[in-house]
Amino acid sequence: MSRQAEPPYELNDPLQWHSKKRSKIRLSWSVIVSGGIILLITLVAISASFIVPFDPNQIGVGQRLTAPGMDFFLGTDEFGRDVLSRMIFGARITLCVGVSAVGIGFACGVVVGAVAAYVGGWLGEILMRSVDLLYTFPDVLIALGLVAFLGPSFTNAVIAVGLSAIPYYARSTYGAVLSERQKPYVLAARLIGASHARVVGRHLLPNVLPTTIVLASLGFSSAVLAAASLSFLGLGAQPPTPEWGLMLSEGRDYITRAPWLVVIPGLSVFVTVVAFNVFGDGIRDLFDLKENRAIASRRFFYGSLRRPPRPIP
Amino acid sequence: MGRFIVRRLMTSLVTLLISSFLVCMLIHLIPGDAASVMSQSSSPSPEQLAAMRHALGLDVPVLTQYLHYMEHLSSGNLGRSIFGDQPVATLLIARLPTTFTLALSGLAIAVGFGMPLGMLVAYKKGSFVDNALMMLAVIGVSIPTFWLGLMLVLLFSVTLNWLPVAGEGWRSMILPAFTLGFAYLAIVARVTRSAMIDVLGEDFIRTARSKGMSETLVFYRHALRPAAISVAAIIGVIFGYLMGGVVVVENVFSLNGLGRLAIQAISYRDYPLIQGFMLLFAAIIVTTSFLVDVAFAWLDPRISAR
Repeated sequence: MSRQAEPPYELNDPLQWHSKKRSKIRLSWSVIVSGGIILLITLVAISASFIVPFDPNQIGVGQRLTAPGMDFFLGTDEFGRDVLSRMIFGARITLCVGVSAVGIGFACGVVVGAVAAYVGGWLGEILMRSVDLLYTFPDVLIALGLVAFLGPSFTNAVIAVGLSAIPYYARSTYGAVLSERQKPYVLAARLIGASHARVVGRHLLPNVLPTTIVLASLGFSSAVLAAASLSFLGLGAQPPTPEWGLMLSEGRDYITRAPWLVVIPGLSVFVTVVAFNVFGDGIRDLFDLKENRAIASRRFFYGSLRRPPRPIP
Repeated sequence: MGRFIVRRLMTSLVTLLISSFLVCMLIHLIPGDAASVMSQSSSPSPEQLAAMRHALGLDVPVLTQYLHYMEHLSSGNLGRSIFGDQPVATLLIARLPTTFTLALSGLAIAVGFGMPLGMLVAYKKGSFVDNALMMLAVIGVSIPTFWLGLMLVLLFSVTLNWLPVAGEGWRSMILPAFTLGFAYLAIVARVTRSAMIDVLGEDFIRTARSKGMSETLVFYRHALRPAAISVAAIIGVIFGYLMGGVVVVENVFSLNGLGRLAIQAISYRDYPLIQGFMLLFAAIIVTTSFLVDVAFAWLDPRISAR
């Protein structure tokens, strides 16, 4: 007897998302490669203290500006510090920055978006209007303004990068909660007497989080990029922190004599950001979030699909 | 059309008002007492502090502070730069041309190269070029602007000695403009590609082809304009993001524009100057997006009818 064909099901249906789709996931090679790079960076970051050949901040472990070679795999910088050791510790900083900035933006953004969509009314209107307003401006500019007044320091830079990403997470959560709110299980939960807080916390958010978390993996790359830019501009990490953006900024004066001081940190930022972008894209395609989310949010915000992707409020 | 412009103008004005309020309130983010942070002497006396607070207008309620700020603003007074010892507006206006030249040349590169590339790729859907463009788009959004700039300097100025690193004239603008425009080149190309693919599937294209029109004529007479409209729609947004990129690019190439001024202002804690900079950038971004939207509605009357 032949097996019955499986009934068609919606990929985004939360009830089936957990049970059925897990076993059917097929990874594309780009997701595997980028995931491998991310795993490698993570391992290097975790084991940094054990694998560095030298103390990253030790001055004069070698001659100044030694070219990459057998003794110093990635050469030395203008103070005779080992570039490889600094790069390894830089990986740890980069990941910490990404995680903290995304954490801040994600936590605030999800709360803002969920409250705006669930409560609605004038509160929702005000919240989403402010989010739209902030969305008008490039996030680097918002982060720059925040750092300027909070004072240039690495912690403030990370906070600013996190806060400047709130609109991104708020908007995606808003769209997701709004479509989820209509579903019968929400009404059912209300009918058996669950409070609003419980409906949001126990029923809505768990169903919305898969969508938003996938988007967070894409936000990670822009957070890393923005934090590195701020450090490059002198508004983030301060010397002698082995932060990649800062290392690049310090090395630029030696660009003719010691190009590796510029090439290596920038290349590392680039590879990390590409890996997270490709990985995030791959995961998003895997769960087929792109189409549904884009259409749902666009239709809601602008009442039609023919508006440009990021209109000004 | 008239109603559309009025409505769009109102939202722009509201955006500007709220932005100006936020910029005015930024000063309260300064940790500790703003007056003691900004006063020149290391241990100011209580009288000096009170005077500083009064000079900054911090000794009145928040809403009054904002009203004062707007009152000054309406007469073009953005305050006095603390370290430049000049009116903020003067300092900003002096740097405006460099920034505008850079942003517009970046936009020109993004659109000038991106649109033809997208149109070419639309005709070769699924080909090697198409996949390469997808890869270019990922590279474009992932590459750190500051690194791309320095790599171009290393290649074209240091190694090949083709272009100057800094200096005057249009040749010194090539590398900065390309650095700025690169990220958006691939985005423009991808938008053009999908717009073009949509248009090429329309009935009027099939009609044009079936009456024997050559493909070149179909392209120039019928496909180009509707596809260009879709691209025009995103130019406002791209310009806003280019203005963010300007800050980094100016600092990489040591161009004396607004972005470099802003970083200097931040390192000197010159708060009035930073506020002026933020406000000017907000105004530029909001105005451009307004103008682009109006132009867009004029090109495509269906927009304003909605």
